[in-house]
Amino acid sequence: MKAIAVILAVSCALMAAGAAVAYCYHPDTGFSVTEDGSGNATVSVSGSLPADVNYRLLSGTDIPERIYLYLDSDYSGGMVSYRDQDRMLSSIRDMMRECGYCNAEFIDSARLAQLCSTPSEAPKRAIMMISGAVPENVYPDDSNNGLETWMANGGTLYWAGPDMGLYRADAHRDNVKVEGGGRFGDNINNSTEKPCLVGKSSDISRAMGFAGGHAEFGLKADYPGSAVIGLYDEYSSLSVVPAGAGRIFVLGCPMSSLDVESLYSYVDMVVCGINEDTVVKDTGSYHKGYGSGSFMVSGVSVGDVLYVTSGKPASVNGRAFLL
Amino acid sequence: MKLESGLGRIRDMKHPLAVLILAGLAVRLVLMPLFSFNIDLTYWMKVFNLIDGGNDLYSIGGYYYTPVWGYILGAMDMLAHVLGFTDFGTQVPELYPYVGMDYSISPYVTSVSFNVLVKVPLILTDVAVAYLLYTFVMRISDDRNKALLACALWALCPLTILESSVHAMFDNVSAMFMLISFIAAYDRKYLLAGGVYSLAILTKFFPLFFIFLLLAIVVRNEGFNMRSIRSIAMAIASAVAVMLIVELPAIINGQFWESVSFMTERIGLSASTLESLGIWLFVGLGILVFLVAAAAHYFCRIRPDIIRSRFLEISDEDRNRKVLKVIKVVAGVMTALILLYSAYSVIKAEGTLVDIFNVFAKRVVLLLSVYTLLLEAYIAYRFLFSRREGIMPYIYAFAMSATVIFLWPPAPQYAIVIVPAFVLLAVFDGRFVKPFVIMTVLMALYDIVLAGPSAVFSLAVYTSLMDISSLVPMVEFVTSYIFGELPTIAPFMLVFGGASYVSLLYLIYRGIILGRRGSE
Repeated sequence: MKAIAVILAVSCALMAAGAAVAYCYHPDTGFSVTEDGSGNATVSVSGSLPADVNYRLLSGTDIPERIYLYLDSDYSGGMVSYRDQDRMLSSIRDMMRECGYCNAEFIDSARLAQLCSTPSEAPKRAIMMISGAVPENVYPDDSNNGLETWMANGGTLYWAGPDMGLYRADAHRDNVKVEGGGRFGDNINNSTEKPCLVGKSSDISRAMGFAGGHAEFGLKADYPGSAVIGLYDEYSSLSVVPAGAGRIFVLGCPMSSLDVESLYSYVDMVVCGINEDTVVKDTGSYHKGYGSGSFMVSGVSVGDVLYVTSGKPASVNGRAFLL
Repeated sequence: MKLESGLGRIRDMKHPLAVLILAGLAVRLVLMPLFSFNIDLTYWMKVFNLIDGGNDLYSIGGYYYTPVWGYILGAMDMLAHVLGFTDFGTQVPELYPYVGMDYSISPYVTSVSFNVLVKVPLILTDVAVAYLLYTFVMRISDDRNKALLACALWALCPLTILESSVHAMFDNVSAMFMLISFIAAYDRKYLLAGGVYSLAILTKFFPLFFIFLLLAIVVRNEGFNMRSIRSIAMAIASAVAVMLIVELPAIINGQFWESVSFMTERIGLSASTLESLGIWLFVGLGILVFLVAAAAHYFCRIRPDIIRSRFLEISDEDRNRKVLKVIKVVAGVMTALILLYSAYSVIKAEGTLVDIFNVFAKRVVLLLSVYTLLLEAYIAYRFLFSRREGIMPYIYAFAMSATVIFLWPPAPQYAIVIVPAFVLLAVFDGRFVKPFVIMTVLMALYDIVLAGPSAVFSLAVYTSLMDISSLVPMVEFVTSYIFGELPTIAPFMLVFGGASYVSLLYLIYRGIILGRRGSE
């Protein structure tokens, strides 16, 4: 009985500690950057425990000033349940915060309609939609999709699901298919094969650690004007396409198909403003020991973004510095 | 060298138990940095990543099991940070083209330090189980040879070695809790038995099927009286209390059903369906508990004569007949209910033929789970009325109850939960040693086939011993298809999986035949 008591005591202590870590622990890694004016930047990393730090030096980025996360219980559509959308978007918002981006807010369909109809709201702002269907108050008739207006006015759309505009969500949480309503039409995969995966990695995906290969709703990799920032074969798992004065990011699958690490990478791409013009100038890593540490990044220019993260392979903590 | 002579040599040493445990430990310590089952380790890596990113176990997809293993991983995550092992893994673009085939390949490869860290609690669990088996057998038999054999059969078992030090699967944690629960029940410590049984189920759900056996142990120990009822109530209360404590974080976060989805899916019930029943599910459970308690009160307190005259004080043949009749009736009713439910589900199901088939398959699993439980109930009944004295009826019932769980072919790691029962059986009935060894060797071989080239991915990516590109042809082979859509790996799985399953069936056959002879 003594052996059992010892084993159970150790097991319970381990589980209690683990539960506390799982629900309360938060790595305290922090970042700051100083530039010396001659193309070098010194990254200081604070935090008591060791951490694996990665950096990407990027040019041609466009960080949104505000990101609107669309969530509406009435117009949630029938593809992804409201609850799943809520959980996913809440997690994405929290991940963004961990990466130093605090300008994300939830909006409902009424606010979405208002944003789409106000041209001045669009520039430098982004909407993220993972429901796969545009609410009918933003898409009142087959030819009047408010999100197109949003992009035409310079807004960005992070889209996940079937072809944008192919489905309209009504007030009964159902989807109505709009014949000919899809933005990309036959250029979207629409594969029923599960899982539909692609396997070549783009430069951006390598640099950002994005390994999500699902492309059942992927855009053709060679779609005119588009840039593949995910994986690809004939179709792409993540592309960005200029649209009017704005752009649309097409994720090739429902957001829930991304694994944990790819979701973190996706968030990385959002918070450091990756787009079709982005060039990865440099990448590197640094292992911080106990206490604070620092490292230098050279070749920085005005307008670059230095994106520093901790965690490997998932960037669980980060900060984008506009230099 | 024969097992007996090998054990003889160890027995003559100064500290034979320490030698056995250290030998088992040494093999594991050598294997754990070298080989790893990459696909499962990448799942454990997700848990680390979820926690570090400020998410919890169930906030987004990534962790599907009940919380116990997640908590252990949480503790290991903290240890990883304290020790500075913060490189958990990396993306490997060379593997991207092979992801999503029938043979599972992850786009990530975990680091050697991560693999080692995750395996540490599993290897310590192996040591704990070996020691528990030794002390239990020593206590009940007062025979050091038997106790050493029990320790050796676990510590040096190829399957347990592989699962903890290579595969990094946590089934041995569930096995350890189940063994403790069995020992505690045997020792009439029901509060402990109930609580630890709850932990066993919340680690991995397979011990759920031991429920009737544990109830029968209480009744056999205490007799058909109110003391049994009180003991059972105490054990159940303890189990529920432990479950509430373990599940508390998930309950607070509104994730209870997500946290038990692995358990419910395995018996063919979807967690979301159960969740949609809302409060009615708990009302139903409450009514069921009330009815059972009322029946127990009536038959034990008010009219104990009914049980005595109609069940206890009749011939074995009459009792068997009655029990079999009840089991047949229950099986018939449950089959009819589940078939109706299946028909309703299939009619309601939307999507392709494959989706509908999947719904139907879930109902079949539910039906099989019911049949398994009925078989378990029958084994518990036979144990309860077995006229044999001493430990043997307990051990036979434990082992037979264990085998029934896997009447349909288990994955090798699943079989770990039943190994302690077989170790005890083999120790007390030497005729089971050989079938046990054969089964565990074949199961281990099957697992090696399943691991395939992924066993050395970490070495290839994180050391200079080999290069990932040198493994690509092998990866291409295991993920390829023959005759159209038949995975190339399938014939290998059929041969090795089939052989290990046949060896399990043979063990059951031996158990039934020898058990019957023993009872004659």
